[in-house]
Amino acid sequence: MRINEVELSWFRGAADPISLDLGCKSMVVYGENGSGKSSFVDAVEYALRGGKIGHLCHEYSGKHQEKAVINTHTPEGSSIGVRIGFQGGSELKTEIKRNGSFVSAGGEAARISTWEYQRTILRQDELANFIRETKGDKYSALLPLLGLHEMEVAAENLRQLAKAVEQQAKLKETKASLTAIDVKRKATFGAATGGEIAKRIQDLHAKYCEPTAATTDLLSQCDETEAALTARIKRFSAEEKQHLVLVDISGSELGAHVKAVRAAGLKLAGEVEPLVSERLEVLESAATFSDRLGVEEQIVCPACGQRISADEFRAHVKREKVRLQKTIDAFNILKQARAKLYDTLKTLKSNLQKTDIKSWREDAARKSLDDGFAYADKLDAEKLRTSCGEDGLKSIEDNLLPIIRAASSAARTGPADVSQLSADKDVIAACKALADRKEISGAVKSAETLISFLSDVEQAVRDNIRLRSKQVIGDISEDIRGMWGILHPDEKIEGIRLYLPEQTDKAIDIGLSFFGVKQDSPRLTLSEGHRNSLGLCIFLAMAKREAAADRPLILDDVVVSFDRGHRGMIVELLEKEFKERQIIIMTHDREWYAELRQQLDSASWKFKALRPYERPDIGIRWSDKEFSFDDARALLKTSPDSAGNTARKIMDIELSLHAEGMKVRLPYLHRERNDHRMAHDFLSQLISDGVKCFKKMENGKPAPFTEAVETFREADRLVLSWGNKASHSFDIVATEAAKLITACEKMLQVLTCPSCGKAVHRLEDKGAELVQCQCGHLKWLYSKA
Amino acid sequence: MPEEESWAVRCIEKVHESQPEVNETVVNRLRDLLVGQMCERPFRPSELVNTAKTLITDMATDSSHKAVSPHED
Repeated sequence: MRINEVELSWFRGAADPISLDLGCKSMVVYGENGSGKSSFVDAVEYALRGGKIGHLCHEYSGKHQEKAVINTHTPEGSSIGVRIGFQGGSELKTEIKRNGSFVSAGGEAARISTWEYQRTILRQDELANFIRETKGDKYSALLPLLGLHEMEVAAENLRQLAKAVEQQAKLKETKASLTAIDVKRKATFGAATGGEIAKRIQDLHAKYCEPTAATTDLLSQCDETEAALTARIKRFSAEEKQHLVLVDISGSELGAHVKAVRAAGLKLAGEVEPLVSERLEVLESAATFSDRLGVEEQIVCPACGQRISADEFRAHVKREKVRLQKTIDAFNILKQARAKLYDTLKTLKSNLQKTDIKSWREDAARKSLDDGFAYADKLDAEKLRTSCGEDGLKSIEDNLLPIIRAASSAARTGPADVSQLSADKDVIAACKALADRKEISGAVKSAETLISFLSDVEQAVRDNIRLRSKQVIGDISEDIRGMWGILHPDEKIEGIRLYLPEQTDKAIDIGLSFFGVKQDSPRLTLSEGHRNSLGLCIFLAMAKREAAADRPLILDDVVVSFDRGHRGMIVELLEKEFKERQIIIMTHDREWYAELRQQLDSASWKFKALRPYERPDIGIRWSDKEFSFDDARALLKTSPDSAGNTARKIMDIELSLHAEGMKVRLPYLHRERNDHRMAHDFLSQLISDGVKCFKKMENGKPAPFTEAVETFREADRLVLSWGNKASHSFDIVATEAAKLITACEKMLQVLTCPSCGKAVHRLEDKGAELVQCQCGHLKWLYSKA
Repeated sequence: MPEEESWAVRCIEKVHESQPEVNETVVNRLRDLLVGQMCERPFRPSELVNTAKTLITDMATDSSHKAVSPHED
């Protein structure tokens, strides 16, 4: 789909409606800096990105772009907007309101929104973007070209599903409970085998249960024994019940848990802990948010409405997580230690508040523990779960450890059978936990198998993606090498290729050979100019992949850092690779513009020049000629010498190209002076040759074109006097500069045929020496001279 | 077999060969998902939770990892 026309109304630099009339052809637009070229590019970007222009800084894009998109001097009541006409007559019309919101109408909104910006528009400052981007960003940029969207979505869903299984199976918690059961088994049974444990349970069953109970199933034996023990405890005297609670208290491992929290706390500097905690919390939320994002999705920044690539966001979260991994591990250990301390304190507090030990607490002999009891009663264990500094740990030790010691001491002197009964109860509890262990272990293994399966299927899909990516990337690399070869023939930068780094998913990088030495990145050795050139090749190679879509390519001032030799090769590249595509080139380089006018086929290319920008209320304006002295005219009032000097420079460029096209032979000069010919050199030769060679058809016969030669003479006279004056002595006045400009303009005009509109030049296909305009009305007849 | 179906099925079958302990119920369900909605769009969190629960149940259906006797060493 080609663009027929882009019309701007008070959009960016435009004032009253101004149209870039492409007529579905390719076009080169010349305009000096600030003349408004990029406003047309912005308009296309605005349409294809649904109201966003990437180069506008963050705060002036998205919801606040009314400050940047609308002409600052838009009169009240004026209609603001962009209209893009397409081949076949359809159009997309966007009306922009004063507050920056917009409404689009026309059937092409959906179609243009499918144009990838990265494969449609290339701006000067974006040339090396691809090279600068991270490997992940490079992958994201190429992803739509790989045609692997479905696989990417599937792989991502599989990854998320594995995580969801882990969460739903409560894998971490369940595994932690398995570890706790193992610890309990070791503490209760030591290294006893399953048979030995079973024997112990049978013995306890026989000890506490009625002899009539003939249960042989181990788990049932545990249940029956537990019930018998509970019944006995219920029948305990107050003294026995008190003793039982004291045994429980004495078994508390509070001291060990306090030490564990202290040790873990040392790993994290106390002063940075809140900061780390806060940061991890933010990171955790960001990671959860990032996990929920889909492939190629974009995130809307809640602060300003700017859209950010989801991949960019994910990569950032991943980097942060890796960076903080050690801290995360240390922090988790501390959290676990605190959780254990919290559980122990909770149990201890509950035991201390039991009425069974009320009299023990109130005993006068334990007066010294009153502060500890008061501390325990007021203790908010929940608070300690999240934060507990050294002071808190010290208080716990000072207040509660003496109570545990006192309870241990009292427990030692209690009734022996109560202690035994308590120990037996523990054995039964540990055995029942072991029974649960098998079931828990089975569930863990099942969940782990499922997760492993999902992860392996994800990996298989990613391997598939990799395999197919390699093929596409290989094709693109071949195109890049071909294009680079056109722009840089015989240069020792070779073997340029995109490649998938080993062991990394969703990543692409660029490799090359620099004077025979392999390089992993162009950044290592390439100059800025070469990087930009490579950036252009990569952009064009990617754009070529979408050749079937026949979308326009827009190159906005992309040759700034190219030297003349490399710049000249771009035409060859475009003609070879993109002959069928619509290309829009914006440039402020007058010399290149003139070259392009000479080199590109006018059947498929149009050329337009913009006038220098004067004021926002006048806006962007077209020059009425392809070659334009408007830049010079714009300076007449304020700086006549600059106007004269600009006119002379324009003549240097235009005449060198005309002379080349007409094969004008200049006398040989000493060495490098041959490369620095000026307008006067060309004019002198044109005057000398023109008298004999320049003819125009009159009554079917070529007749000397003497008026033309007169314009050469007049231009040469004024260039020599006032042009050089403007360049060297700066005392030219406005009227003189104006006369110089008019003379130069007139001189160049006569080289263009009034009938066919083409300049006199050598016709390649009509014999080496035939120099004329396209229709033959004007001729430059060397052979007959 | 359509293209999107063939790569999905190939991936599942290849992995299943090396992990035969995963039962057919799980494999069939995942295959159906992979040739359907799983490659069309990113799953919503609720869909992930429901699918995960279903797969966990599927695994238990005829899994070989059932608990046997509680005191086997």
